[in-house]
Amino acid sequence: MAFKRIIAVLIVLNGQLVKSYGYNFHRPAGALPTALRELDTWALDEIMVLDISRRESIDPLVVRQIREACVYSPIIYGGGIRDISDIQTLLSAGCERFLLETLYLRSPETVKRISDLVGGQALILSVPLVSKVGQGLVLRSSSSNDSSSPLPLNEIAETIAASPASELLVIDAVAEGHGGAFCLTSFDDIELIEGSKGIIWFGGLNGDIAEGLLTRRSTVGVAFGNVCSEKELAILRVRRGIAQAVQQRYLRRLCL
Amino acid sequence: MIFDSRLKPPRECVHCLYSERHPFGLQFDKSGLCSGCTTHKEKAALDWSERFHLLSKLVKKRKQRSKFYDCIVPVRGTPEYFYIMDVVKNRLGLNPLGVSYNSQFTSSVGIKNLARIKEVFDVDMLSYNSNPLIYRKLVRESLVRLGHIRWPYLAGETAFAVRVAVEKNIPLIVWPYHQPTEQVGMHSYLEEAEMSRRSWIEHDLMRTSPSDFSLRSETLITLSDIEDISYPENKLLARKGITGIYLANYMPWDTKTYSEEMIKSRGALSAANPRTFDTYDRIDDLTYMGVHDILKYANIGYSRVTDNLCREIRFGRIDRHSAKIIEGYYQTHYPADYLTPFITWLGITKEAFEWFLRFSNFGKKEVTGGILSIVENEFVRGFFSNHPPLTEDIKFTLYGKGLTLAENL
Repeated sequence: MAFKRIIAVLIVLNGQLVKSYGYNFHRPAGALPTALRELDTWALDEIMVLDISRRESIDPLVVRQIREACVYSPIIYGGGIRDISDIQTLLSAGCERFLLETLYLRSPETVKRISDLVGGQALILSVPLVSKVGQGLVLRSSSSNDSSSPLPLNEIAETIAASPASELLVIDAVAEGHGGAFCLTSFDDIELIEGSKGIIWFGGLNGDIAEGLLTRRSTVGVAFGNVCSEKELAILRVRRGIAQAVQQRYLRRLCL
Repeated sequence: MIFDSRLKPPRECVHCLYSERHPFGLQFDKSGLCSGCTTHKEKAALDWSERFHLLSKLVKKRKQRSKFYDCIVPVRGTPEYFYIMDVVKNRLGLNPLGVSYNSQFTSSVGIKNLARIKEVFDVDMLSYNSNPLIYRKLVRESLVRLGHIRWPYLAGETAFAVRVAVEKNIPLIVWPYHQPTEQVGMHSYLEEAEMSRRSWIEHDLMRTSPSDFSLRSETLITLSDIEDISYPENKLLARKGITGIYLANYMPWDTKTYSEEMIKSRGALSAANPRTFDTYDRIDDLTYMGVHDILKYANIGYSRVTDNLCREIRFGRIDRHSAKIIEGYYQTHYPADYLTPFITWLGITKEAFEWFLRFSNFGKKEVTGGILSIVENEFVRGFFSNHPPLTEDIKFTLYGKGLTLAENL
């Protein structure tokens, strides 16, 4: 039986740790090494470091900070990965899994080569989605050089399914940073990618929404960002809330 | 991250005086407004009566869990802390336990204010005095390691409050405000950010935890030295459900207004401070606006008067241009005689202290700040004081230990 994971997300912008709100507005959030070390004491399943600077390469400062933090929790790194040398640099810094976004659309063959090196289980595809009137769910552009129109989800669903990556990080890019605002599963389009790979949901989750998402067959994890810097042991509280909700549902079923 | 001003000038906010140099980090929107100013706008926009109602519901839940004391309130000897006690005791109807950590450099006005809080609000108070010899060792280490003398106090003040909460099973700690939120807008007030170990290490302790101090081979600090300034473990916090809340998430926090209210209604004392116009802020500590503030400017390029002015600009009580003039004026103050008792206590010479300044990022601000105009003078006079200035109070009060430090130097 596959277990479902709770993941903390740390967002980095131009080398600084930030809290992000819909990728439009940002607040300072302290230093990455301190955050990593503190989250490492929370017994999390994974910690994701997501660089949203729209760089064409990985940020050496961020990589150095990850290396110096020296944490035990598995680290997923995303942002600016363009070739195998980036993967090798990140592996030596202690990262175990890699989030790819621009690369799987621009160069699927590079993704294949990376998969041959580290295995498909180490790769996650990032799918940040926004809802456009008349188009349904579309991919939010992550590259500063990309001035083309946003891609509808139905046009990239095949690319996603064919990729060797094992999981998807599906992001509600509008709700991101606004706890409780997540609403992607209310769109029919989302079924295009559910079932092809395991999904980690991110963007505007709270405890109740996470509990509902975890019951979906396609879900392998839920990820939380800003709340990790707002409350002491935030993920533990979420975990407890989910456990209590699951227990109550189980008891109700027994009574029926 | 230390900003290197030699590379390029730091980006400044178009409204307040903060720049990218701020050690908490600063983000800017498209118009050039910093995240601190953006968050400050919430003070005018939110429905604070509704938010106070939320606070009342939150503390009511916590009140039911505790046996005698409903909450812990960390207390300092400034007028603002009268206001906190007033809110907690009289508006929220809680029975608080005040906790106070001796900074070893408490001013006489600070001691009087602490005594007055106990008297006026009839609250129990727990005070902690650490071993002054160990404390001095920690201050020396933090000066050498971080260029900062208040690290031991900041570590101890929070750690003491949390340790008392754990030991006495009092799950709620009430703080006035979260400094990074007030200064750089780290959180929205709607997010109701809470006290956390991460914030303590990151912002209060400059990313250096107590264990970092003792782990290095060249240090004289031992594990027993840092025992009383260590934060309790996660499993204890989780088991006891310890939460620290900030009143500023539920009230439009304004240090000046609240302090003046308490001076008028509760007899709180205020006094003139060197290096700033603010007669309410940090008047409980003889070193804050002296040695500490000079070191702060030397290391990060701005001093406490900038924090005070940014608050006043955001509340619309002064414009940016006048604030800049006032900032320049106070930053050049160097009260040499006022620094002497601390330097002597620490066991260093004046030349050694000047050496720290010379090899820091920004050194000592030498350029004279000029004179204040009528407008600026009127603004400065708007801050009330009813106690002799701190510069007249040059003897440190050492109580509870019966030691004469001269014998132990």
